[in-house]
Amino acid sequence: MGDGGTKEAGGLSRSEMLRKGALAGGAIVGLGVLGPYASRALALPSTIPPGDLNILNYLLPFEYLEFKLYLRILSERNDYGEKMPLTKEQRALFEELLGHEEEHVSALKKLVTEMGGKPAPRGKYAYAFRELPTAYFLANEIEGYAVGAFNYQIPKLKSKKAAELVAAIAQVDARHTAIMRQESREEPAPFAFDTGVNEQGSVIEIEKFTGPAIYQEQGIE
Amino acid sequence: MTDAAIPRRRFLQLAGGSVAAAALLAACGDDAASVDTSEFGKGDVGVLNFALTLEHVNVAFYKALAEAGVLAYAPQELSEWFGEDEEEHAAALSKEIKKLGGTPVAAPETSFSFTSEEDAIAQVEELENAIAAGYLGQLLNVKGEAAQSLLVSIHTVEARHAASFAHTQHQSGMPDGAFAKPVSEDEALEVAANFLS
Repeated sequence: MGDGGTKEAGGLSRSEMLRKGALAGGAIVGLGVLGPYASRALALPSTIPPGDLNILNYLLPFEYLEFKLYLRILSERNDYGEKMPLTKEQRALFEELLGHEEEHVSALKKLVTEMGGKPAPRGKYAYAFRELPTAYFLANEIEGYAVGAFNYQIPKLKSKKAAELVAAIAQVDARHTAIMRQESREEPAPFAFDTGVNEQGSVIEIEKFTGPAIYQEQGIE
Repeated sequence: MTDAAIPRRRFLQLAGGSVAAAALLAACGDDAASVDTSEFGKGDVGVLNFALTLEHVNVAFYKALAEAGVLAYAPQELSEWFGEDEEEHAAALSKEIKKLGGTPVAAPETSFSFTSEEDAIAQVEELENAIAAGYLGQLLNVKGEAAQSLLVSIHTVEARHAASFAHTQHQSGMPDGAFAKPVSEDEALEVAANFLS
């Protein structure tokens, strides 16, 4: 997530204010009001060994996570088994996003395979949301962290093909998060710069939504 | 000289006639072979000055849009927020260019006309999409770590801007589908050149 905002207002920079707001939002839902956001198996490491294959396999689970989230939303049932109906327009939007994530997953897996690697496996994800606004919030946060993670890795990729693919996906995920933020009544581009987020930072951010189990299960300290 | 070189010439002519710009124009010549990425300066400085040129147009665009009074509350708010982002981009690019020993290009003379909200949003979408795609086309052409990180940190923000305006009009914010497509410098400049006076 970008952190380049320098606008001052009431003694706090715009970035600081937004960060405080985001943390407050995360804290509310993280206190058990809605339960843990997602469960286990987001195979994100805190550090990754060098090499393009490792980078691509580190990024792939973000796309799995996004794909599964949109699939869950499109089921029109929340995690309490209750109906969570979508309007025609909402459904069309989530179908579009789902289609993109499916293509991102396919492209990353294909490239990993072409480069002689084995794509990271899909995890089992379980999101907990009761109402659509929470789903929008989840989507904008996860997509936003993905943008930071992808941007951080672009300069580290040696293969031009891999870097081009990761950059092309990052821009589309950025568009997704902007739209999800608009639906959440949040500023779509909260910072002037989408600064890259390293592996450890991404895992810490995602943990807000997966709960601490992710660390225990993945053995990440 | 190719048609594609015209926006470059116009930008450089309108950017205040710096020594570097004058020299580059003189070197531009009349054959297609002279159209290369060195016209904004060589190497990373050239790419950064290309990006700065787009940002200059974008800053001016949002200022004009804010003053035009054609937008409803929500897109007007976007316009004000995004205008601040563009100013930060221009400042950061200028700083990096100077750090690399280059001279930041001056802002060109621009002119804008908005007949309605729909017209203004169509224009801003076109410009932001071209800028995002222009950045994407240059991300891997820079060698310096700081310069590349800067461009990378901006390209997704420009994409956010474009998508946000599209969404206010109930249009898809992802015109290229699942994968953003890059454009060349000339293609991006051609769109920005619509706003040169």
